[in-house]
Amino acid sequence: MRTLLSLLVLTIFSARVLGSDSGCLEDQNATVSQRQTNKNQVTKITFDGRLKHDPVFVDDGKSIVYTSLEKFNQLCLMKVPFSPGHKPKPVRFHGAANTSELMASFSKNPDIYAFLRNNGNLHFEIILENKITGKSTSYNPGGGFAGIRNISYAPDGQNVIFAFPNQNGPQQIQALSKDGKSNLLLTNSEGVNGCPKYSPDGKQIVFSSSRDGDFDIFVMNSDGSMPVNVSKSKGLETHPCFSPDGKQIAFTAIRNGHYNIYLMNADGSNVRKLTKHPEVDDYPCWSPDGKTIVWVGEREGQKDLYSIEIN
Amino acid sequence: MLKIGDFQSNSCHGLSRRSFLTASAALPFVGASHLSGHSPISVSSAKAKSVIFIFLWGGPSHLDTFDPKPEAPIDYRGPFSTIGTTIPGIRFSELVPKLAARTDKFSLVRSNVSLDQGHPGAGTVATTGYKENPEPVHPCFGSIAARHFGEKEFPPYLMLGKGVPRDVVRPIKGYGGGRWGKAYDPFMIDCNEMGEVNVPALKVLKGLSPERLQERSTLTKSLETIQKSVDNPKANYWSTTQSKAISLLTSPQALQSLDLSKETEKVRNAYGQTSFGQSLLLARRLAEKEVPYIHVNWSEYVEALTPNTDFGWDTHIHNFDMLPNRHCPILDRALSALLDDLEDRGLLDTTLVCCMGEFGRTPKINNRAARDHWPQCFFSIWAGAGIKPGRVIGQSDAKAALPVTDPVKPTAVGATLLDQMGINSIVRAELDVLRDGELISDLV
Repeated sequence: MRTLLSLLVLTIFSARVLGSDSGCLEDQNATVSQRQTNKNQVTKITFDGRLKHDPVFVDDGKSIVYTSLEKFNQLCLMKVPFSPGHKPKPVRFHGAANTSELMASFSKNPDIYAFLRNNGNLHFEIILENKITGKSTSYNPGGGFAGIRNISYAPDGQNVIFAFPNQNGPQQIQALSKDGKSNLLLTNSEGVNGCPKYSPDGKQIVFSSSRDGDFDIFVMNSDGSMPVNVSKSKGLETHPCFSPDGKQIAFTAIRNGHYNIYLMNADGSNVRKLTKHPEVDDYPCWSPDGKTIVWVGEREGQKDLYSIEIN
Repeated sequence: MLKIGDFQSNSCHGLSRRSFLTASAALPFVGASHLSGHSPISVSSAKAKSVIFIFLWGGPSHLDTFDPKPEAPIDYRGPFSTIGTTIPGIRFSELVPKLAARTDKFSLVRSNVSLDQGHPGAGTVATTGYKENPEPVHPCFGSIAARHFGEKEFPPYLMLGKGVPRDVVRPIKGYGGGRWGKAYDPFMIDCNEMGEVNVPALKVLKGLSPERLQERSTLTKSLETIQKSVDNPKANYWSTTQSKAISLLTSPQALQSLDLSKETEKVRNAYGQTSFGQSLLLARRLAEKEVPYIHVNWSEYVEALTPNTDFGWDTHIHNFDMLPNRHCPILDRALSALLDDLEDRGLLDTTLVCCMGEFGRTPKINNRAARDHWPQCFFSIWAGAGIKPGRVIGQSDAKAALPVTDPVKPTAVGATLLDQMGINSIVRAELDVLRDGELISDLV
């Protein structure tokens, strides 16, 4: 009886997560196929309900590192095995952290990664960790309030891109060398540019920008050239990330007040709504094999990581 | 602070949670309790039995929430779209959809102003109606209610949060009795994201259970121990007010009201697993007990992202990240749940809800791609207890920089709150408070 009940609950939940209606970005070709719907299975990865964000796969897809509100006044990087169907216990990624650390990003080599550390009053620095050499480098812009955010490590480990305001107000995407010594401005537009992520081959960057009005998804070359608005929709679109083959982009969009996860081809075509739940779904990330998307889902007021298999 | 005990209580999700009662030198409600309540005139005109004042500490951006300006230049309007509300022609930011769908339950003021542009000073203005200086500080709205209504089952002025609102430098001065003294300070209760309630001023010795608390001799002994340890001349309140302290501590009804595990999971989940959400649920439980003034802090610290602070609304950096990713979804969910819950229980007619920060944020985006302090124009949300819902009061200019209608002054906020509680202009004059406070007439 309990098994039957569980199956019923799972079926209902799966149906709510993977949209089978025409929910879409401006009604473009939005429905994931019914065949795919039947194969999709949503799995809960964490169970503590704490506020979470920015999950990323590590260890060839065997684990996930994410940011979590572990104390009322501290964000921590947490690591949890990716083992759907089990209830693994997340552990602190940096056990000794005594201030907020967030937004970890890894190169292809998981021993080379970066994250943000809140090191002062409204002040952040980028920490570049190299576990191979044992060397830790920081990039601290200095001054007073410093709002570095949204870092992404290049697959080849040569640099990190991040969002940072320039002097006259707009927020731009910058690239920082792996030694933390030189940085390069990649965007120079009006509005707020943020949430940059490298493509798997490192040749492109997907990011969100409000230069055309509200937040849209843009793709540009990794040197900052040829930025193209690939979503061009009314309403917020953010937190984009490329699929491992570089052909698709997963992202978050707000439509009719609902935060959901969407997929589209890398050129902006074939937009599909992946989740369809009245609570918040955000921060999608792809597994290295491209078969799974993990995101932060709010269910009954609690935020946890969820995964769904996709074709 | 002296611990004098702890006990177990249940919380949602089937987890056993530990709640704490602690006692310290402060125990302000005890000091206040020698005042049996002013009530010099009938309060039959009172529409609000309780006020829930929700303090969005740090100063939320009005442009990115309840007063968007989509036609303003890009360096003003910000990156968010707008959505319709139930009021024709009125739009909110896309970040607060649940509240946008509930504008039939509340009214919105878009023309609040403050008198100070720093946090502690503006915090005092928001809670008292006046500047901190020259001292002495004016009594805050909650303290006025406390003096008027006096002690009953609960202290009349409860503040839900981890501590007096503050920034990294200092707390606000206007959190309590001000010139009336600490006797009218709030009684603090903390509620975390799991709904565990912690009463910092009432910690009980480890091993004491609520049942043992009812053994008067045990508690009296503990309180005497505290009294001896207090090196504060005002500690002699204790000799005359112990009995009231004991009656609160040993009241099963009072303790039950602090126990959120008495709520269904559905209700608890509706508010969200955040300390703010669970605090609003606790506020509703206290409103059911007709606690006169319940002040709920969004956070103790204003700072949005500073070590050892608790994520306030002071978004000098990361404004366009934190609002969509954290602050607005939490606020939208919890405040919507509170309005629904109060309405469902028939409490909205007798509970006045006011939600606001100490100021707004700069219409022009700053050079850190965020927004700074802006006391010249901001919003407040009002619901229940005679407030006419579905209205927008006041209007800001094309960049939400200044009101183009009569500004709503800080004293008007206090006068309106108190008037709905029956503390009308005559009573206020007797108490010598908010003499110049005019009502926000379009609200009621």
